Amino acid sequence: MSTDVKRARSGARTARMSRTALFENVAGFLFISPWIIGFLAFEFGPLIAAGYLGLTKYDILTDPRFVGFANFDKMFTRDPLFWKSLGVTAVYSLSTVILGIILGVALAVLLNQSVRGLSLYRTIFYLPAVISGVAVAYMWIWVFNSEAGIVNTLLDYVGIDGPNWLFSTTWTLPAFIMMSLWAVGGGMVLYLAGLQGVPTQLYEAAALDGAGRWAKFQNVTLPMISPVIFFNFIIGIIASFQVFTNSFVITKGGPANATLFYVLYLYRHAFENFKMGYAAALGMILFAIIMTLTIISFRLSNRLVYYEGRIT
Amino acid sequence: MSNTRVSRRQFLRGLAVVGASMPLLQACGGGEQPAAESAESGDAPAPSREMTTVRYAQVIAPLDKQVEMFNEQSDTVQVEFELVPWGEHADKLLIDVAAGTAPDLWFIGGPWWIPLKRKKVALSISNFLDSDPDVVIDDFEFPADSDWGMIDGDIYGLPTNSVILRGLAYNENLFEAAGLDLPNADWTLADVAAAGPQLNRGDESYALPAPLLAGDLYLTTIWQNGGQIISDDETKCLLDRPEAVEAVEQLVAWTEFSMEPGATQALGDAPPASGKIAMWPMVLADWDSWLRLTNNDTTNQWMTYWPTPSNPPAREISAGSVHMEAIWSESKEVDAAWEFFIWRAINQDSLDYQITLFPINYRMAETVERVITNERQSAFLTLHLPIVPQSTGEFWGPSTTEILNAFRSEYELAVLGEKTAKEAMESATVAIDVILEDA
Repeated sequence: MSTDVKRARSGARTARMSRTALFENVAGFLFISPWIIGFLAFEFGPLIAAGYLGLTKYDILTDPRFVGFANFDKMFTRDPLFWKSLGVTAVYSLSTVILGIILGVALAVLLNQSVRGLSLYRTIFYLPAVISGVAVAYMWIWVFNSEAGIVNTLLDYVGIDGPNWLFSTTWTLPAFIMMSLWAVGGGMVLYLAGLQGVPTQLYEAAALDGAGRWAKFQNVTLPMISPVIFFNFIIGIIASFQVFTNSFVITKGGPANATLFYVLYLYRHAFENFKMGYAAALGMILFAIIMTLTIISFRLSNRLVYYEGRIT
Repeated sequence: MSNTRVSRRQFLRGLAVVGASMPLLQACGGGEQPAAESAESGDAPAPSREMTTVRYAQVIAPLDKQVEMFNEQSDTVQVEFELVPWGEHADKLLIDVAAGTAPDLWFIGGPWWIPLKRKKVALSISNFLDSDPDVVIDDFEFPADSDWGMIDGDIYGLPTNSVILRGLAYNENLFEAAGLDLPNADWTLADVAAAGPQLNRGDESYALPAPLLAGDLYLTTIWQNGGQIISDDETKCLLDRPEAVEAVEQLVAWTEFSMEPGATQALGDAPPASGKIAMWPMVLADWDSWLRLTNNDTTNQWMTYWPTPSNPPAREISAGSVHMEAIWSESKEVDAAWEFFIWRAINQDSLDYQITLFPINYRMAETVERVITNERQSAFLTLHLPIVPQSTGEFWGPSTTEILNAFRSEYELAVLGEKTAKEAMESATVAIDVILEDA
């Protein structure tokens, strides 16, 4: 190795390790240290612990006993409620994510127009995203009440005899899917930001090419906001698989397990049935499901998402 | 004086160091409480004897007055009252026990008691009871030395109030309007079924609230019909046996004339207070709830015993939600905890106060007689005493809530007409057998 090259490398190292850089690095790490500590203590640590506890029989009150893969064996071969809760959650997740994206984009497009009182509309649509989940759950109990609820009252006006939404094995899950759309304003704000970042010259160019409204939306708007849609899709999948509050408060998983969501089932084992080992195993499966769906989504995103400026 | 200026970068760097250090400093600071609270007590004289503090977790808010009463008269023990919401109390206790930070004394709902007792989370209090000259075991309304509170001959807890049994509340006005005789202690489930359709009179009167809200009535009915939930050795579910299926069929049959699930809500937060429900299940003797549910006893309603499947029933037994109190087995202040524990359970001042709220477990009849002047309340509070001896705690097996959930989900399918009672109980049996295998 030549002397010049050695000197150059040494100089570069000195530059990297200068006092200023060192202090800035330390300061940076100190600034994010509360988050790092929180992550290690409350997320990564429990994740590792759950991985171990999933291989044990653990009732919280006595020491865990190692049982290998017995919890997973029971889950896949002898626990019908595991499959039931997975099925209920998958249907809910698929429905809420797709409907949430469609409705969120539609609302964002509407609120991206120049009309009076736009800020007010945006605030109104976003408001549900910041209201306490439990308070909202109690509101939905009344909204879907079979006798005095607003939904059945409105249906009654148009001559439809509304179902008993929260006590029917057929209608309870659809009711929960409708409830989820209440918080669509959270995604809408992101779509709106995406829409406002679409360069106007692209629309002008499309117009010169003779594109109509739908063609502009399909060929300009959608590709340009596809990264935002993809982000909301991933977040939506993760959040919908962890749905808990509404079923815990409103139906307790009923009627007849029609709203037995996966996390509610996990919660029951952990804190009602004294089966923390089994609950931890359920948690690991949930982690694997979400991780797998996220990886698949990222793989698909290469074909479906357009990133401006990316060299392909 | 130097005129050194602090750059923005230096300021931010310093802020980061201080911010990051705060949690560390706090963690190292230990758990000592500031002295501000003691300073607030002004010039009160210092206690002459050392005080021991014990923590008491309870779900019933007005019982904090008992704690105040005890603290006023004790110069050695101070009790800290910790109010926990009913919906979270079992979860919270479980987590506190696992973390080693459980209260010294705690309340626990009946369904969670058996697993906690079996795992010895509660302290054996047999020696305390035996050596306390003030305790008369026979004076406990629900026997303190029953199987419910014991394991291997030792007592681990005491019922916090007298056993809570279900009765049938009925609205006299609605029965009279329908031209029916009032329910009485001889009624069977068939009598309810016969009266039900006649009590549904449009928006004026509803026979029964939704059967899904029937609480713990299934267990009583199944037992009274000679059925069992699980075998004595806790290895096999017996819900598919004819006695159990028949009992469930009788309850499910009520759906024909009961309100739609959820419909009762339209009558308000306390539907019976609307005066439109003819019959409803109600805890015998809980006067405090009774007032709320009957619009301060103004809706002309009364109570009788819960109807049996047949008369006489195949088995003379009633299931009750026996809420328990116990001392944590890991408590560092066992003697002090016992002092309050037994004071609350048997001290006459304590009992006199508690009887104004709901049943008590110690010398109830005598206390009602000396404290309750309202004749109707007095009669109400003592209504359930005759059936306490034939009662037991609600027990669904070694994994209580899991088995109860397995039963309920199938029962709901029967109520919703998606399965027959027999099919539902057969499915429940299969599901519960799997739970028992693992228990």
